Amino acid sequence: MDIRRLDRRTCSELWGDGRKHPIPALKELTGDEASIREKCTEAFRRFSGLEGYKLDAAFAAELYFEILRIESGFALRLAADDLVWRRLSVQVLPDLVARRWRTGTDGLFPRDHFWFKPQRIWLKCLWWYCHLARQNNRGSTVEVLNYGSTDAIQAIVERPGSGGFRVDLCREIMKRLTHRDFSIETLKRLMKLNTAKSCVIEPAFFAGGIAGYVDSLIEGLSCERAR
Amino acid sequence: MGFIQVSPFRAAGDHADADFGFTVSGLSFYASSHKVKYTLQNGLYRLDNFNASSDSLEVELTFSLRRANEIFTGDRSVCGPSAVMGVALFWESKSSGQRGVGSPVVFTRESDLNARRIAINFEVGALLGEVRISPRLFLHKPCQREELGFARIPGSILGSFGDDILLSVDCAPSAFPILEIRDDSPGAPLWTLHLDWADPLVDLFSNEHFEVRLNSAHKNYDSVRVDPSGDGIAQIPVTLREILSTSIFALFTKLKNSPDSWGRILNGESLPGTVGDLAWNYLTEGHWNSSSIPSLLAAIRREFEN
Repeated sequence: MDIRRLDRRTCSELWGDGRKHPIPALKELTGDEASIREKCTEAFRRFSGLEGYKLDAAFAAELYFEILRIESGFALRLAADDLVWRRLSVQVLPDLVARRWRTGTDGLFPRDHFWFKPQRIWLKCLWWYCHLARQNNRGSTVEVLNYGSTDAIQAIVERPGSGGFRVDLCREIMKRLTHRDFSIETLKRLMKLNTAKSCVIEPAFFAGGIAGYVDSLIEGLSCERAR
Repeated sequence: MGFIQVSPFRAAGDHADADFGFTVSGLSFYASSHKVKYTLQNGLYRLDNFNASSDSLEVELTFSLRRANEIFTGDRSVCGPSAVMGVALFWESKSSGQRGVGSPVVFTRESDLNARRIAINFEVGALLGEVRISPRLFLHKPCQREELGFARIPGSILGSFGDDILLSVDCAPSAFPILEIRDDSPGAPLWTLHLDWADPLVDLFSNEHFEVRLNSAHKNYDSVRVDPSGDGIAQIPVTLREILSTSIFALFTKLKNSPDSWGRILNGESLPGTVGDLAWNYLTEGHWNSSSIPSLLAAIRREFEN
């Protein structure tokens, strides 16, 4: 997939003071970038009535399953490349990102969600959020996403740990969101407990595998609550 | 090769030299269709004839544990005699945003651990940049009889053997930043060039700033395909050689268009590994004459003939 890369320094120059978001130069987009823009614009048209997390969840699924599909050449190495996301966010789809992340009380667009903080670039967050929530098919993934929230995005995506995501573990944890009694608050606490525990225990080699490991984390939380 | 304790449970921390006779007799890398050659440079394994965008990768390590019995009994033991232990390759890649483990070898006190293989498989396009790989010892099944101080939770990591293996899947030392793209739109060219740097004395000679993009959908793509079993410039097809020499000529042309930074490049002020450093190296070590277009072009083409 031919998506250009945008380095941080050039991005900073393009961004300016942040009072206006950059305007995409449509003639300078590659064929793939123009196609991505077209599909995203169309999706935003369909999702025009959605706000906040509802827009996040709907657009995340569209982005992951239709627009930037792994099977169609958007490989994980592209998804891990911040320069690709900066390009998409600041030069290909800035007007769409700005519909979700509008100017704050200071009159500035939140640069963190556009390009400044790699783990907060909105498009990147949504793609990885859906990748880490992926279940057997789109339907079951969307079901999981519908139980999520902006806090869930933060808990899952914004803290990849020092070495990166354990993809299978995240998927198992996200699956639990559909279970009764498993709230977003539980998810946040469970992620913290996992950070500590996975330093000394490898989830894949736990009794019962990753599912068994997640069960043990949930048990751990119950014990904590009982104390 | 020492044994590094990472667990709060009893491991080999009191015996820093205890490695249970761990030795590595082989480390190999395989792409989809060929064995990958590598260059070991300052502890970093750089994969040479490997394309991270189109090749899958298998990392295979052959190890022996000559004193594996010491894991189960004696002063240095880290588990009870009836426990089942495991060794696996643990990997993490911050640049790829992922981490994981390979299939383990599990063993008991009676197992023969001579020349055993452990491996990790990465799918096509899964990795970006660098990967850190570490062979680690973990508890697969605890000892039937509970003994104080020993880990009892399966999956407990009880130590890592020796130094980590640091692997670079991009930026082979002699390789050009080349990206394979697929553009089947009418009239799409066989190749294009991406030249985009802010400061050539600081910006690295890497895909971000310099990239030759080969179009795999072009009817003449076969004429630029590198034979995956080959290595070195002799195996590079003549058409690709022409493309690379033209791209380097374009790089020099762009550099010379900025007289200020060009002067500083000629003074050798570029940081190592940068676009400017590459140009300076060519000029000084290759004795290139850049004073005129014909002389520069002749020097570049001579370089790519060799």
